[in-house]
Amino acid sequence: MKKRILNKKGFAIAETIMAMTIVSLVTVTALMLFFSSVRTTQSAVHKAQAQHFAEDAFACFRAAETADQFSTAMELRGGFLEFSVTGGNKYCFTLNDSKFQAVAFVDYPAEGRASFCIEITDGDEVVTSISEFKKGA
Amino acid sequence: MKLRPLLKSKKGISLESAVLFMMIIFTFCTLVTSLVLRGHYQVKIDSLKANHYAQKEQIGEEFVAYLQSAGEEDTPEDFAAYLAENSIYYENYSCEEVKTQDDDIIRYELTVKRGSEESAASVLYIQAEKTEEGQVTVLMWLSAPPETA
Repeated sequence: MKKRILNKKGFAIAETIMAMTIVSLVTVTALMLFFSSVRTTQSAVHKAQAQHFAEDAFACFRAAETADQFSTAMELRGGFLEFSVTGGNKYCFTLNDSKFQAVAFVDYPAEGRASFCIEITDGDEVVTSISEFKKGA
Repeated sequence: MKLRPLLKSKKGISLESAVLFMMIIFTFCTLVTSLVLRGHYQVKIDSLKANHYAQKEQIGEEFVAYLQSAGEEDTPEDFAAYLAENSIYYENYSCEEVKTQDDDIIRYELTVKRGSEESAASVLYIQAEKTEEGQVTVLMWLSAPPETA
C-alpha cells in the first residue's frame, strides 16, 4: 500500500474501470435499499394510521351509549373514504390513503352489556385488531 | 491533504475516491436501514400496547359488571371468584379488591397490577360505591396510559 502511495506512476484505465465497477455496484445497492426503505416506511405509516383508527374507534365505543352515538362519533372522527353499516352492528370502513378495510362489530343491546371488536385488514393480512371488549354496564 | 500537490500528481485517485464513496454510501445505508427497522417495529409495539390497554380496561369493565350483581344470592363473594366463575382469565395481571361498609353504602376499591409481584406498578385503580337500592356509582377510574399499561 505504502509502495502504491509513493508510486508516482498512474494506471488510469485499469483504475477507472475498477472504480466505476465499485461505484456502480454501490450505487445500485444503495438505490435498491433506498426504494425498499421507502416502501417499508410507507407501509409502516399506513399501519400506524390503521392502529390509530382502531384505538379511536375503541374510544368512540366506550364514550357512546347507543349505536347512533357511535356512528356520529366516527363520522366526526373521519379518516375513512366509505362507511357502511350492515346487519345493524357491522361497520365497514375503507381507510384514507391506504387500501385497508376496517370491520368493527358494535352491539348496544337493550338489555345486557355492549360489546365491541375491530379488525383492520390489508387483503388477507390482519394489520391490527382489538378483540371482543365488553362494557361493564 | 494539500490540494496543489494532488492536482500536480500524475497518479490517479479514482480508486481511493471510489472506496471513500463506498464507505459514505454504506454508512448512509446503515443509518436508513436502522431508522426503517425502528419504524417497522414501533408499529408492532404500538399494536401490542393498544391490546394490553384494552385488556386492562376490560378488567375494570368486568369489575363494574360484577358490582351490578354484587351482594346478590347467586353472585360470588369477591371479584376473583366472579372472574373464575365466568371463566375469565387475565394473564400478567393481578387484582386486589378492598370492600368497606359505610352505613347503607358499600364502597369497593380495585387495584390492578401488572405482574403478580408486590412491587409491581399499578395500572388501574377503580373506586366505586353501591347503595342498598343497588345503585352503582363509579367514583374514580384511574388508568395508566397505554405506554405503561
